[in-house]
Amino acid sequence: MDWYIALLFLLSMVLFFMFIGVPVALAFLAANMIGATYFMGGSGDIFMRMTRGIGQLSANALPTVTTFNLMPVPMFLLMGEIFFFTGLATRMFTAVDKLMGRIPARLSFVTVAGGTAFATLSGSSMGSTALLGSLMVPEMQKRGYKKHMAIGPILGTGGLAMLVPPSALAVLLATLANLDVGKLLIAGVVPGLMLACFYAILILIMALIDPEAAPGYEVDSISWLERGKLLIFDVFPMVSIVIGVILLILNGWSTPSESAAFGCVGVLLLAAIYGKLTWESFVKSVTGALKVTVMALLIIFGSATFSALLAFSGASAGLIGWATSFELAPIVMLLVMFGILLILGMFMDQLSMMLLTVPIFFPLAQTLGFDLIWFGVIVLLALEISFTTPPFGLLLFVMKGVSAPDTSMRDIYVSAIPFMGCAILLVGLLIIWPEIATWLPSFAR
Amino acid sequence: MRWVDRLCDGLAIFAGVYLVVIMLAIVFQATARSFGFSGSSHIFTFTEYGLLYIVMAGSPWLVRLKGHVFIEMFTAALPRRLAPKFSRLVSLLCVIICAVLVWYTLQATLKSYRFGDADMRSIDMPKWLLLGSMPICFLLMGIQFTRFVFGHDTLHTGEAGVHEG
Repeated sequence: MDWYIALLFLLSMVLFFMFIGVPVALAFLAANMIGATYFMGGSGDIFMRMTRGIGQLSANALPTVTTFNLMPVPMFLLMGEIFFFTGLATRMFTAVDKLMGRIPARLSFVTVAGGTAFATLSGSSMGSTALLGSLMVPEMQKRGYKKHMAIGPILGTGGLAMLVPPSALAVLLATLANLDVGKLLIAGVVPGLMLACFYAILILIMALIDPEAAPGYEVDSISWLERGKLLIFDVFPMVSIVIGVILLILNGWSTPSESAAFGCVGVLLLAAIYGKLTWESFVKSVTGALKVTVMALLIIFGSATFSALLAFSGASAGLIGWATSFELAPIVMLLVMFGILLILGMFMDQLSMMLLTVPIFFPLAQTLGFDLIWFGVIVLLALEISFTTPPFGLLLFVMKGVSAPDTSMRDIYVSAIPFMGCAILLVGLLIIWPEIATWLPSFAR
Repeated sequence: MRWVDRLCDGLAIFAGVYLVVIMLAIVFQATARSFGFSGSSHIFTFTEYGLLYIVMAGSPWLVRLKGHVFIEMFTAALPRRLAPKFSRLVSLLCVIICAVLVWYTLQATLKSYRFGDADMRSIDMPKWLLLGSMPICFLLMGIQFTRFVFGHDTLHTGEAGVHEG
């Protein structure tokens, strides 16, 4: 079979099953069963071929799922859920709100500052968006904020969760692409913080152009002593856990998996110290982390053979040979890959996008001589943008769920666009100065 | 269905407990190492295999909660009268996929039992103990999907988007 027919055959099977609504994990499993039977089943009747092919599939899935590299995924998720369900998130957010004082478009800035901290700690874009939406939207409406000033910052900061460590998605990407998990996590720090700054600048510009979009209002002033107390007791302890996790990885004191487990225990201790750790909140946290872990790892399990099939059928090598035969500039190839990710993001979840594209894009990026950690950050940014790309970006629907009833999907789409622009600007800067992503990981031991 | 639901709930509780134990085990291992003790290399093996058991034990429970992510495009575009029927067909397809997986992963398990295959890490784990979790998981998943074929509820909501439980 020619490589392009093999590629079309494999990709179209997965896409077909997904399109008709089969759960993603089963879509991959079904496509891989057929593909493995055809490409790996050897000779004999169909049952013999299925026995060999599907046997190979289960054998491939074992080492893929049972790897210590994946351990930060459940640990980061658990850390975020504990942070969320014990009420530590709300406590920190309220503190940021009080600390912000009286500035134009105050609530939008509160969203970006508090949201960045929360998205970072929780590692969950959806959880972050849901919390920010339910906390901030009613308050912003009460203060007469226009919809785009309320919705846009929430969508933007929600997406930061996947870029700034601890990010479960970054761990998955690193594992799938055979990258150093710790380095990819660390590489997201500077771009993530830059993006948060871009959001703040954007809000300032929007508030200056149209002051009516975010009317000013009187806030209770608090003393410097109170500010200090809020910082020490309600902000610093939470943020120090994230910084601690990053430092543990950066200094090589522990593996990303161990750092993540320490992060979990840290948040648990913190919740206990604040008297917020109850059996109910603990069970809810474990249940929440379990749901996403099982969902994500079953997809990884299902897709374990996919990259092997692409390689075995000659599709990967054929595509790379074909793509490089045009002798296009590497930057053009990068933009093509980026564009494909954005298009896929309109219809697909992040994990499916990764599983479909990583086996093709990363070997191609290596052939083109890209720094793979830098490329990983670009892919994460594309995934982040795709979270808010119409019509099916996941965060758009989460936002719709927590917005006022008169908010249309169009309102949400329009609000998301300037913040997507910030992320695209960051991609541009990363292309010009790759050091933005590669500088910090260069210190990792 | 009730006993299947209870079994799935029990397996999910097992998965949740395993997750917490993994967290504690990793912290214990890393702390022991930083104090100069070597700890136990079996802890790594225990946590690594744990990921497989957690996925296999939690998946059937997650089917019932509609927690396995799926995309609604086609089902959302169908006329309201047709959509539930098509959704049941898709669920039936899921049952068939699970049934095929049950059969062939069972074959793989039995084969590795007969040949005495082992997964060699810090301990030589009999492979059938790992592979054996797969037919059980897919059997229970298949049974859970049948509720969306024959029951009142359907897997798909009719609302376009990516659904994540």
